[in-house]
Amino acid sequence: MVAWLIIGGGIQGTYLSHLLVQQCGIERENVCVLDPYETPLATWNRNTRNCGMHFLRSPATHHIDIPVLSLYRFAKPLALASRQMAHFIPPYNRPSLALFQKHCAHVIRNSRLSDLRITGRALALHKNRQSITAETSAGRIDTRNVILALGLGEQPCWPSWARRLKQAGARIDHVFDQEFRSSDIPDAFKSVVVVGGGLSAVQTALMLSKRLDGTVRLVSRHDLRESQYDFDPCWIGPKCLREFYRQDFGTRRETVDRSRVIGSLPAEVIQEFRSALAAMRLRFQKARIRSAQREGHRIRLDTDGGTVRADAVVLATGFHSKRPGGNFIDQVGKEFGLKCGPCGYPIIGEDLRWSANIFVTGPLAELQLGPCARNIIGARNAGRHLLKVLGPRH
Amino acid sequence: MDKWECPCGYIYDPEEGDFESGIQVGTAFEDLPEHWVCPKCGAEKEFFEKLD
Repeated sequence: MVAWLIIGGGIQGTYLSHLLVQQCGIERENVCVLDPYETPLATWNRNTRNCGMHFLRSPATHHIDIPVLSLYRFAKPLALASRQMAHFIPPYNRPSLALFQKHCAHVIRNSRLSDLRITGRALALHKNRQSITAETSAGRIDTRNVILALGLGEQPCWPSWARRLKQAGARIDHVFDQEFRSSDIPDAFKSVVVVGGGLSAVQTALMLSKRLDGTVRLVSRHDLRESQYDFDPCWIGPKCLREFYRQDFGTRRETVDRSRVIGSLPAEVIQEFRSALAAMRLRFQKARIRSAQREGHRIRLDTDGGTVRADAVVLATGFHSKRPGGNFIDQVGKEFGLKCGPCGYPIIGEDLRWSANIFVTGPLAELQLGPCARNIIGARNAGRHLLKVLGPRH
Repeated sequence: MDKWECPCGYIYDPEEGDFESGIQVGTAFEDLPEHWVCPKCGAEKEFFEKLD
């Protein structure tokens, strides 16, 4: 029996496992992270690499270590060793992806967070008198408490025309698919279309345009929008959350959806994109795709702005907004008789409890933590709430 | 004078002050009124960390 089972080993789960051990003083043997992937942060690392991210959108204080300034301190000797490397860019000192990943690896190695992990997928939770049994693909795990830290990483958004095209055997992938590697797209392809209008789409198009010999075209339903953040920073603190807590759960869902600035780009990416357009390294088409079909080895896209042909299509259409966790979360809610809002997301308390010993974090906790729940700072905010429950050095 | 960073990423820089909150240029973080909060997210002073 362990004291804490964290289901999900991404940014959220990894940070919280670190917090439980380092700050709450829970013995390592009593913390277990269940994750379907072999290594920590596997989905995060794959997704950021696939879309060619250079700098994070979040500031340097958002990371997986406990001390807030850990990333700055980690960067100092690196900066001295490699003077040519810009580790942070304004505003708010946003770290490079390379630095962020090195820091994550450093934290995971130094705190031996990999040792806490079990590779497997949660299938169901069963209620016992004073404990919970997790049925997993790696066997049964008995635990006193569970933290649900599931992300959106396993639900990339596929438009219906794209699903049909994939079924027809065409070369179409989603940048967030588990099997997809952007490096698998041959350099010699004459034409690649990237679909989407947000940060991952533009970064993917820029990356491919630098590597491929042929034309890279970005097709977006809307003009590119500039926004430094994917949500207003007021959601990180009490400024906006005070009013949020006064809302009913239906309204909270609307607020969360409205407050996330979907399909927007920070200034430096827009600038790079404009330079690439001016240099004719890539093309931009504002259009809605009506239908698509396979034409031999190629793909034909019929849009409301005309027909486009491509050797490959890469979707960068974000994640499906449905509640993560699928049948597993349905089963948990049913087994423990737990409440969900009209949107199907868990209704949890200020202490992140869904039940006496089931806690929720990440996007599943949006009705309590607000629009930043799924971000790195959402994990840190969740940590603060858990600390209130457990206390430091519990 | 030291700069201080809020969890939301906002950095209080005494050389800039906080115009919107009526904080004059040159005001050290320690001299900010107790009721001052982060202009971006509303966090109180105790949540800020001093930058090295």
